[in-house]
Amino acid sequence: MEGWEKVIVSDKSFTQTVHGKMGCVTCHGGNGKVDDKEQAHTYIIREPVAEDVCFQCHVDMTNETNSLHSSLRGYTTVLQDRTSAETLAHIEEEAFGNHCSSCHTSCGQCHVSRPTSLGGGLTAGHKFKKVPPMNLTCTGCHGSRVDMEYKGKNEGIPADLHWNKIGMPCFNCHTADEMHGNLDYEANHRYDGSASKSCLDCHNDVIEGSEIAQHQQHISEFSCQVCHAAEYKNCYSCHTQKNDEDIPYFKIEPSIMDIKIGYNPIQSEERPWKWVVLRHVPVDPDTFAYYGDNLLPNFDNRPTWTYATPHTIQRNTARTESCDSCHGNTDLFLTEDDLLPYEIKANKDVVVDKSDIPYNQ
Amino acid sequence: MKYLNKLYKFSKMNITIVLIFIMAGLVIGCGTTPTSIPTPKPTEIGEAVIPSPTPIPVSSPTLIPTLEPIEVEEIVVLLPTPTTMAVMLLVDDSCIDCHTNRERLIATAEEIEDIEELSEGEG
Repeated sequence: MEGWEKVIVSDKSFTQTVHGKMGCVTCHGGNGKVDDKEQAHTYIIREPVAEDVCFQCHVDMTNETNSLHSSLRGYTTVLQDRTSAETLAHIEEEAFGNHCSSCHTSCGQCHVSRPTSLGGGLTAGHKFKKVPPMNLTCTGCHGSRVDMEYKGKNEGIPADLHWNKIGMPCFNCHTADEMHGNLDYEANHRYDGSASKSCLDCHNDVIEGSEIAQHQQHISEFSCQVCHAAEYKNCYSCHTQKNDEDIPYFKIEPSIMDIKIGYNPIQSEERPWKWVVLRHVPVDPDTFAYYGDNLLPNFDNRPTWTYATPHTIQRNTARTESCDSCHGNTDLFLTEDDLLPYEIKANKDVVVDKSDIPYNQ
Repeated sequence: MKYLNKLYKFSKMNITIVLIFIMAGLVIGCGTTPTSIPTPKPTEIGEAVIPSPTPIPVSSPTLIPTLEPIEVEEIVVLLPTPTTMAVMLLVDDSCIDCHTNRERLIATAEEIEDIEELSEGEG
């Protein structure tokens, strides 16, 4: 977007809307009485603070502190596991701000504009969109994995059935309450608590009355994705750093499309399955090495192959073709042979014992 | 003759008044017995308790600053601006005028620097 495109208000009828009637300076500050650009923008607030503005009216709409999009606690949760108190503080001092916190999202960055991490810009001439435009907000940030997988942008991998067949938007599964943190539990990670919507909420015929024998045989031990996800993206070796002009950047190895079945690292009442698909996340013992030595001293506390819900769902996959697609297929399961030397300990709970891989039928 | 009559009447009235005063004096002086006047018994007087004097606060003298006389050429009295009601009117016509004017936004937009993408790989 050009600079002017980002800030153009569609037309003056905006002033007659509920938000428009409040006047620009109420939320954005500045001086609305002068024509001079510099003077008008004195003390301008580009992104109004939710507590000062939005929450004055939308009192019960959002529990911002429990919204992962706002709190970024998903990041701190995994960092806490892999760091010590001292090294976490060191990371939070600079590296976190340089490489992680830009993913923060506020009310306006979904309902009015594109997220700042994408360069910002009004999405609909400053109209407030009750349902944010998915392609400019959700997949604007969640692009390389979710967007490319869901819409079939990875070469040779079809789009997710839910997109391909019926064009389901993100919000059909990821509810406003989930986004806004209005949950009956404290959200420290995206897989805390029960899913907003699970597969069985819609496909409840799979449990009872299914004509497919494998559903009856496997549904209690397998997550749906084990059979119905197509290949998904796995990332490796992210390294953060800054250039000579103090501009932060990262380098990451080319991603790999693959499927690996392993043990469920977060087995619980909500996610009871023994077998799930696992995705490799790009963390590396030296991810923050630029900022100091051994900043992830407890790297082994979390697996690098993590619980995943890929957005590549298909009715038919290679695994649904026959029993032997899985039974006896050691390549499909995550074994120690798949691990890099530095991550063997970290993945000890999810890597599959070869003796546990089912035999050919 | 009239004068002699008036004088006669006046003398007669004065004599009557004098007689009345003499009679009253006799009645008062002779008709009452003298009354004994009670004498108060002497009271023993102990040590007198004299209340201590209450200190009276004395305010310290106020220093009155001496001001240099200022020469004022013109006295300006600032009166409050009259307001019709206690409502903040948000005048931001300029904001909306400019931000709905495509040509003006293009003309006043600052050029966005092309920042070289340093990161490699998918984020």
